[in-house]
Amino acid sequence: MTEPPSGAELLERLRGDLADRPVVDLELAGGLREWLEDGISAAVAGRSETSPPIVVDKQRLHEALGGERARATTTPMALGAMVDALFRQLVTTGGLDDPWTDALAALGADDRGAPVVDHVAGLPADELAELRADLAEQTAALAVRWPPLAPHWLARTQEALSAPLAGGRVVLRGVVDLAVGGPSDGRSTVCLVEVKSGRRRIEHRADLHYYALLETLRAGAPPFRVATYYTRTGELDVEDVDHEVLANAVRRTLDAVSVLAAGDEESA
Amino acid sequence: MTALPLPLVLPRAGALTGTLVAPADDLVDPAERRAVVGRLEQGLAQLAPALEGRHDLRIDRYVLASGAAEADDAPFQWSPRTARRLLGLDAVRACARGRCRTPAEAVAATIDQAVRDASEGRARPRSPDGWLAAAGPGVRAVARAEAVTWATQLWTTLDWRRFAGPPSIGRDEWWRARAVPGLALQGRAEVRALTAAPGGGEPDESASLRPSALLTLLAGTPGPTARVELGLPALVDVLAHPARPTPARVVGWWPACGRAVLLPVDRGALEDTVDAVLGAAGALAERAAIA
Repeated sequence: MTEPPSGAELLERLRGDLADRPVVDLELAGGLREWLEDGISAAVAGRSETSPPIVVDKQRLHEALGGERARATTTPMALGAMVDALFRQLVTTGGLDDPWTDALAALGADDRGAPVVDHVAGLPADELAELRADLAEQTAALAVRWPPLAPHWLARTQEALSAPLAGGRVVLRGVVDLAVGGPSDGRSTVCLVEVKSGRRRIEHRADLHYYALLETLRAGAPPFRVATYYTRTGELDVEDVDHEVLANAVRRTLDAVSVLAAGDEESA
Repeated sequence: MTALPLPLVLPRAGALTGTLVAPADDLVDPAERRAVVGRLEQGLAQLAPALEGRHDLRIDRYVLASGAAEADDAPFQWSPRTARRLLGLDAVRACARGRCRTPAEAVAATIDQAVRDASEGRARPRSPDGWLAAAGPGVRAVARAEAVTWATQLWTTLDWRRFAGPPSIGRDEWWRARAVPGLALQGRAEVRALTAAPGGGEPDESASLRPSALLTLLAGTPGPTARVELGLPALVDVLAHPARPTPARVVGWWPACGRAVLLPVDRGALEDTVDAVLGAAGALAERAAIA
């Protein structure tokens, strides 16, 4: 069995060779936006002008296309949120001292983390112990394997991405765990990373393609690479972003918006 | 108000900075300024009886965006989200002045300093210093992460080499009407810079006569109130600094969606903002009456 990447090897897979990064097609972002605008305008044509905007994120995309509906907070979801918070801490400060305490404090600092903190507080002792052990194991491996990122790579964590379309009647949204690389100077410069504490799933790639699309629309340049890092196993799924990846993300987004718009019309 | 088209050049910071500091004339003559200010003061004076006794009212861009619905009485609390702008501005200032090379290094230094100051009894007033010093490593790490992301967005928005002189970073402007001293207008702009001298020259003697340009960084996506949200820092500048030229323009930048909106500050922009401020003040007065 191959050892998961760590340190310099992991970094090399995220950053690649600078000379190999693609030159940005300056018409690409505008073309993708027009494609989305055309499709979305048609999808929402029957909606009232006063209807609230359709807000799309990766979960709603997934659900609209037949995926499992999001449920109330579960223990795996709590673990994911805690790992996300600690990943952020590791990338930003370079260290993890007391993962359990720090993760709960980080989540408790914001209203959005309250459901996770409440869920953890309500766990029976045996499940709590299992969660603690799981978190300790994953974060210990993360701290050993994840490399420090040089400050001039301008790493941003939990960066919000959005794209208002059809005059704001549809808003595509996302929050990417990690973006590395400064603004494009003619070549693609950004790598987007999502961190997962659970098992590998095929839809994780589609999530990243969606984020690559949002990044292209907002920056005028596509990311050169997207990656999913699995903290349970240390696996790193890396994919270069090309026109096909972005085109597929547009098609998937349009399919989902059509479903969401039709659902809204039926319930109106 | 104009949505700036996505420039077909990279990096985009050069184009945005060029738009921000392009040479400009003062678009509002002194008589127009007096008329705008007079109408605002008169409108607020009419609301004074309803707002009497209130000392803590503020109209800022969030109040304008929410139609005063969010001007609630909940006490302010520091959190990673509420602290990120102040920490991020300190960091960008450090980068612009050459004290730090990157926002990540600058934010780390800013937080270390804040914690040290608070621990030694030198916390700055209205700063997150004391909160940071009391916070544990987990909360401090999120605060640092939020500030790094925010500061990096501002730092990479502009080409800092293109400013003729050092821009002012993050100095909020305030103004209080004589008739309603308990109500403050807050003008937030992340960057204030002088517009370039016409013809590209940089004669020092003309600097005080040239209008400024403001850049404001906003979350989310531009909404229907964007025009008055951008107009507010220009209006407060006019109110707080009667002797200065009217700011020439305000550029709004929404980093999450990569949209820029340009508001040339003319009489119409100021009048619309006055209408929005009076509307918000009226809503506050109604709430005060109900309470």
